[in-house]
Amino acid sequence: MRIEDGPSVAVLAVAATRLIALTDAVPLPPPELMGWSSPTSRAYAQDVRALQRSLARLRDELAELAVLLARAGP
Amino acid sequence: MSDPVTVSGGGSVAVETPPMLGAAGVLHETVRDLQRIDAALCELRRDPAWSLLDPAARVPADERAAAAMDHCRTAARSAAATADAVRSAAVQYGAVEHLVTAVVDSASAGAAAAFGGALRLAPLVGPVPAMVTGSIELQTTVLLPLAETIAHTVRTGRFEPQMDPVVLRGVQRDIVAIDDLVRGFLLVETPRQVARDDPAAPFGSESIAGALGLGFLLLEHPDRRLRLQRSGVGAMPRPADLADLGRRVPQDGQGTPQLRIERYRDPDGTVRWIVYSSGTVHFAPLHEREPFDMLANLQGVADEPSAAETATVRAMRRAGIRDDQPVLLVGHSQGALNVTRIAQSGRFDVAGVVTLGGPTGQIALPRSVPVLAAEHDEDLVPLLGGTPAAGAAGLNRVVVRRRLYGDAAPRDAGSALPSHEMEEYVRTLVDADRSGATEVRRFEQRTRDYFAGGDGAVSSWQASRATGRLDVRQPRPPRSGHFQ
Repeated sequence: MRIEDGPSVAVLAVAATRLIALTDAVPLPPPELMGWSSPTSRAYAQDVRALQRSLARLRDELAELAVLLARAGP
Repeated sequence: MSDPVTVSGGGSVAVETPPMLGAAGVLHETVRDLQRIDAALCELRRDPAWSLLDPAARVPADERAAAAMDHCRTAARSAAATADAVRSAAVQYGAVEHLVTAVVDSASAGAAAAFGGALRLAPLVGPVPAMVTGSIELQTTVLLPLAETIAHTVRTGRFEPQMDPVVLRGVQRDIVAIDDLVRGFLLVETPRQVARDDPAAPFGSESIAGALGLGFLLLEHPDRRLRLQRSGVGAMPRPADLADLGRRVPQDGQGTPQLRIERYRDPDGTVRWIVYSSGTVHFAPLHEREPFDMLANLQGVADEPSAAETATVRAMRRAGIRDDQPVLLVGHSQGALNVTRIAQSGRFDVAGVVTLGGPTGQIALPRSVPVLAAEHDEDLVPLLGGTPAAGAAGLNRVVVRRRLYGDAAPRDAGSALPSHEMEEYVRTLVDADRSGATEVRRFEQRTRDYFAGGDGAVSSWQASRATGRLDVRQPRPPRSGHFQ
């Protein structure tokens, strides 16, 4: 790989790594609503679990991006 | 640790769904955080260093960044949709609870009316009907609150029925049933009166409060005149949020200003005002010098102009508020009652009303006036306003509720009504600002011009009674046509 501007690319890698940390800190409510059971609460639980999976995929993409940028750096 | 706030757009009933609304609040934070990450990714790709990447690295990096943004936006949409769904479910749950409460209140009113009628007819039909209906009344009005009080005392070791939401709700039900009892005894109760608590009905809360107020006036009727003194004039930035409005309400201290008036000019030249009113300053029935006394509370509930309300209107006029200039009214306790009555009178162009612990639930304001009412489950004062208005008037009233203590000891053990303290209401407004609730956001949207713009001017006003005729018997001007 050709490195045109090593330090700037390294900054990108650091920024991508920070985004991983931000993703890890995204708040999510518990999937179970205490003391309440109904079709709505079950649909809610499914939605929250789907959201957990979306966040995990986001994190994976960011991790791969950070690795790519780190490799492109000096 | 207190519960998070509960916001209901239905106007009257606290939706007891803290886990659902708590989840919705967290999901709103999720959306905001994901939007920040999305924005950061956009910025990352716009960075000059990105274009300097070797194509062999830039292509996969572009793909990864695009995929990450895609996941980010999908997750944000999903979080927003889930938040809306769980909030909608909470509102529907609240509507059912509203219906159940209405049925229970009607049953209570019906039982009171039946008891009154049975007492009246006892000489004709014997004592049995009165004993049966009386035992039902006794159970709902005395035994259930008593049992709850005993259970709470055993559980916590503290005797504090004045802060138990179950007891307070029972007291409220008793208060709103008094007129049904009287009308039942007089055999004039109608089904409509059983179904709906009308403060203006015969022997309703307005009549009772008016009679009590008249009694105070008869007991002591000195000749006194209202005096207004302006102080503390200065510059003031606009409030940042709802909590800031709460922080600016004058404290209920004797000898200090009860009113604060702020004036702001918009870039287009519109002059807008905010009026803040403190609550009851002195609890004497008719205080020698203090117009914010107990009499003003009774007159406010009775829909009679009190000295405190009159003082507020005069301060507004003397500050320069014109009929066509928008004004936001904010009040705590009695101050909430005074400003709500002023909004109801139609004398000013009221752009919004914020009440903190006020007995104002039954006062119907026009739909053009957004109302946000903060009430605590353990606070007796809002309950003294009776069963909140239903229908369109109720729907127009956004209620932010908070349960402060549960079984925990109150923070301010030295106060008789710690849950009524202004400090607690400011905390509730802080939570309301953070809640992201649709109803709160809608209220803020309708009053947004008060929160953004240049600095203005503030003045404080202290009302007192002096020698002269007490000015509390002025006839109220007729209501505007669009008021209910």
